[in-house]
Amino acid sequence: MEALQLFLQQLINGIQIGSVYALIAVGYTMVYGVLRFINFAHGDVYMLGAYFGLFAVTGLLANQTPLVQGLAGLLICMAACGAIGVLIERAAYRPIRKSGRLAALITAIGVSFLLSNGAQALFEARPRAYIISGIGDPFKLNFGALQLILDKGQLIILLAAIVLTLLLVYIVRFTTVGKAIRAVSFDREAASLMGINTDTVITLTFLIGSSLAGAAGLLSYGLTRNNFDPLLGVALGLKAFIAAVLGGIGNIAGAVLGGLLMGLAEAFVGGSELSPFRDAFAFLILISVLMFRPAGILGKNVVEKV
Amino acid sequence: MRRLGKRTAGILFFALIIFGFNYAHGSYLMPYAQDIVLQCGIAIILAVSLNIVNGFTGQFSIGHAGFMAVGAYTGGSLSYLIWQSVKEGLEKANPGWSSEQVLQAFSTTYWWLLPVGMLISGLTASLFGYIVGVPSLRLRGDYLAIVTLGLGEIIRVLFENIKTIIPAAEFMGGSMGFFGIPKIAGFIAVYATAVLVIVLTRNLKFSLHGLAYQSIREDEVASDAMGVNTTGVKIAAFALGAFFAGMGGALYAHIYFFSPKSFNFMLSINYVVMIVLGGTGSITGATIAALVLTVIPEALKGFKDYIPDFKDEYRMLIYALLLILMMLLRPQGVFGMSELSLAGIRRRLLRRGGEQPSDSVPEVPSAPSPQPEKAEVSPEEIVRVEKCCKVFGGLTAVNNFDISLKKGELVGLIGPNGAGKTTVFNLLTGVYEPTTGCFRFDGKMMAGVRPYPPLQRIALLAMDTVLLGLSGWLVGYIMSTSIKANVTWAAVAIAVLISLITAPKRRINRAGYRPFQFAERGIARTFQNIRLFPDLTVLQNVMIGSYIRRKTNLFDALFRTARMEHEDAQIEARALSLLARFGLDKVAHEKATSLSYGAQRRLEIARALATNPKLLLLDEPAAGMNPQEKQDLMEDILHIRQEFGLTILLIEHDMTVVMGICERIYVLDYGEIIAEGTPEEIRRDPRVIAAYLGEEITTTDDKEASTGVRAEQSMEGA
Amino acid sequence: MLTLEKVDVFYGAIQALSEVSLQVNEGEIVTMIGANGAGKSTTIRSISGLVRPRSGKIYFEGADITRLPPHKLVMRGICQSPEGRRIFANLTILENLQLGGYIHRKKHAQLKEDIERVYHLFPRLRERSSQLAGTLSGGEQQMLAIGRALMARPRLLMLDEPSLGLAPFLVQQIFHIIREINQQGVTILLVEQNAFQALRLASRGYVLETGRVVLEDSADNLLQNEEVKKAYLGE
Repeated sequence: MEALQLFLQQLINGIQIGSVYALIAVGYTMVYGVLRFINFAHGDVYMLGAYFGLFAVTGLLANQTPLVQGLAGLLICMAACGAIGVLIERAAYRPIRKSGRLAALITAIGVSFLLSNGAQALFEARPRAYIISGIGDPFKLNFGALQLILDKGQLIILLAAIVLTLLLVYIVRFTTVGKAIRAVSFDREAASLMGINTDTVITLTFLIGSSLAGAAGLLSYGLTRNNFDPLLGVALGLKAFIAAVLGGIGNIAGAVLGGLLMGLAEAFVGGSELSPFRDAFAFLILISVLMFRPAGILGKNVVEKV
Repeated sequence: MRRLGKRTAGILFFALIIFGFNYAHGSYLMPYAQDIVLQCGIAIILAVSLNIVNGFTGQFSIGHAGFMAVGAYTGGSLSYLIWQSVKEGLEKANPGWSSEQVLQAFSTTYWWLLPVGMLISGLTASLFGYIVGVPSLRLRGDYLAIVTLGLGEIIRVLFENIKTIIPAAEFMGGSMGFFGIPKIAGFIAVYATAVLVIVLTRNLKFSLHGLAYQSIREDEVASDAMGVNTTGVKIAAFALGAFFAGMGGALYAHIYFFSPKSFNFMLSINYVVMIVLGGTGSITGATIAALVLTVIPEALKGFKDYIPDFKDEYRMLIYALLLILMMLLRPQGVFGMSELSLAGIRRRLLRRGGEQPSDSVPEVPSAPSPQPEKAEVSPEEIVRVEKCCKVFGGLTAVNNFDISLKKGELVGLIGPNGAGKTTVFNLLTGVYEPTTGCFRFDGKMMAGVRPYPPLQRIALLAMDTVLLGLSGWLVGYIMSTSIKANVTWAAVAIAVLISLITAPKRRINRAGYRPFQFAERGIARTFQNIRLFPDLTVLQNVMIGSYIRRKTNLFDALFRTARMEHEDAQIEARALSLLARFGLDKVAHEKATSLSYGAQRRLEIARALATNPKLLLLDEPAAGMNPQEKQDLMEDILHIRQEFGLTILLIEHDMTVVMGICERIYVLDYGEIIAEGTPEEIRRDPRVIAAYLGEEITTTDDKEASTGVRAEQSMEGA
Repeated sequence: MLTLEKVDVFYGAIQALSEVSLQVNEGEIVTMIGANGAGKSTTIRSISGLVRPRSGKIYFEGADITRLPPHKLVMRGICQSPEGRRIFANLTILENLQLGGYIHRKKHAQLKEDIERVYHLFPRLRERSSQLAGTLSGGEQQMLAIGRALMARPRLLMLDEPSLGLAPFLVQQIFHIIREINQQGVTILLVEQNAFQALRLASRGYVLETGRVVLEDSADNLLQNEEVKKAYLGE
């Protein structure tokens, strides 16, 4: 019985961690879809989200109710990070779009340095933590002898992630803008022949991806009291990117699936005796999946035209 | 003899410079500056070695620091063990010595330790590179990047937890760092290695082997088709890069204190930035970028003395901004792909001085005999394709395709655009594997179903099962310790069960031959959308064609042996004579992309001929040519068939060309052969006229009717 | 309606078009014929803004459109069904058509009506409207590409090799439909390898060779022209 309880508990933890990865991974995957390019700075945008959340909740919204803190904080984070994403695209990525992938990657690395060191200069390097207070005690669920503890913060993270993902799916699947994004991902030139302004669509993609990263920033720190610092973006961004590749990059469902898988792996490995090897496992999983499905789990293998 | 003399002089020259600088380094520089100089040397080694992978072959590895870590730990351990075993003895024997004197004595007695340690480190790292490269180099671009990055990180995590894995390796210190390695490397060791790495890499770059490496960067598909074993070369490049990185790591271990964190992902990124900034593929660029990018962050530290509030973050901010600015202003890197060399400077000066190389294509000397003698067609069959089908995601591109060519024949393959002609070529060159059917070339089965022999299959399946079982065990172990209940054996059982259940469906057929193996057997081709190696010269393009018939190996290339020099000269001469054959010798040193369409098409033919083929496949060679060029092309084709004893299959739309030179013609429409015969017969065939002119068929022909029915069905079925 | 004046296009060092001048009048079907690599597709791509001419001018309805980006040209009424169809294979047929009408995305009633119009023209598409476009057969994909281009209500429709890879009876069908579209008032610029068919359909034609216009005449005259017959009609 203890085993089952532990299993379920780890499962819940894994899904919660995974849902945050999924939110970040979606941003990587969407940008990759339209530009075929790894936006290395995406993890740093997520890091900024955590800081914006901190300032919003403990500063601007300090005297508000937890609900207002949460919702308004989320909106502020999404808006601010979205704006930063757009700014990065306009100022750094657009000018080098035709210069090849290596140049784009190096630029992205430069932007990542800029954001993380800029944050360090502005916000200090020390780790911080904050919490949207008043969430209340964890739920305790009893099923006979089985007792599960459900932290309400975790639950909110999960719910918010689900709502945001559904919103995203709605936008991409059913709105004209979403169709335009998919068209640009599939064939940018053909999309421009439909009268789609591809530059606008690319900017929009950055806006959506970055605002989701901003939301993830607030959710994963504002509800958990976990520490964060200006340099976390690289490591966390990397894992989220792995999640995106694992699921099949360019594929939104794949990013969500990959994020969940990464979260589960992290929870189970983290709870096991092999926890010191946790970071290596992320890559081990990725490599073993790519050996058998070179385009990721949901990705399609494209045959090069000769 | 003269060559040897030159080489000795070179070695002496470098030795003199290194010793000279070593003296200056020790005597005049402040310790801080000395340190920067050493850092620069190591950065050069790492950047130049990464350039072999990322610059030459155009792969995208961002886990180079991992190999450096392997080298550092290997070399460090070796020195550590020996040092610890003799240290006490030395101290006891000479009680009055300071620790520096002890170390000095040690490094004099064990002078061989560092070079041997570096060699072993290099070999270990290159073994890692090989093991890593074999599975991961099947991936491309960003996927490869992320996998190499991951491998670098895995190596780091493994060293952090080395105690858990190998208890005996506790002395390596895990995440605390590796204490107790004798710091015996200095300026001479670092810069001698740097010079060695630069020289070897340069030798490689300018040899036939280096050309093959670069051809992968330029166009992997074309490279494969020209007979370069792209996977093999990529793995070799990876292992070689890892070898040098391991040597650099070993040096690092004998200068600095380090922990696994020293070789993190940011360090790898640093080296990638260096080679991109220097110009991918340029050794000069990588060297200079390594210097500049090591010095700049250090120099920025000096700001602290002038600006009171200068934080360390500002330094990185400036660095980041410089990086972005650099990419905005010069995305191809400082040096592009070119190298700085005395000869190059001299050439450039000469060029500026006088004769301008003509950029227009010289006219092809028109062959004297307009009607070349009839080639001899032997009755022997060389190509036989039986019932070949190729289906792409439900759409049948080629259906029940049968052709047969006799040795020495010149056969045309015509049909409307989209009829599947190029797909046929891709099947004949191994780019695609047929869905069903087979292709025999010169008596050997080249494509088609090739089942494993039963024993081999069983062995492979057993291997799969063991591997799956092992991964099951790993997952089981994690689950067991995580939920505190023993499920390990259950997981193993499930994994083995899965393996056994799926066994009947796995490992049935052997993988098909790769395009380079088709080229080895004597099949060469040109491409419809010209696929030359754009940034290489016309001459280099053709030389790559000869790579397949090489007799030298990588060792010859690195050390520029006499064999290599001889072969390079031979191949260059052969390439030049082929170029002359096509009137391209005057532009031999121009970039391939600077030629006109017509000249590029001829260059593709010359390159294909350099592989010494038996069968030549020409895909629309006349496209984009003007009438005069077409006329010349026809004569050229007839002549080369005679001269090289070729069998030629030709795709062409231009009827004057096809009808003018082909002995036999196959007509392909909608993926099927609809007619076959002499040009005369084809011209009158009503089905052909229909296919080309789209008229309704008045005569109800069985075959045509069935085509129609099939089309209907395929539309219903979609 | 459309005028090209001495348009030069380069790909890197290679000149793909040299001094191409041509004219399309309102209501016409004009065709460009020529061998592969002669510059037909490049001409179309330069009109629709996908490649920038190095020199020369392109006018549409009197305005200079030489440097406009593709999406602005669509808004002016120039649409293209590109070579190789380039449909969005991972979107449904309906979504492909909706994207074709992207510039009218606010006018829901008009979109509905236009989709009906396309379905009327190509009944097969209606049957499959919720399928992914990638599952269509070659002929159906071509229909979708043309239908998609019509959704923007173009005044000038450029068709690049609509017969590519199609069985003869399907080619017939496509050509019938092109005529029908033209009769509804759409001007058409047609690039075809199937010179005979194209010339029978068109009122005027241009013959391209290695990036130059070498002949320009009424379609009937071109059909009678000995050189054209020899080079392109296979006679």
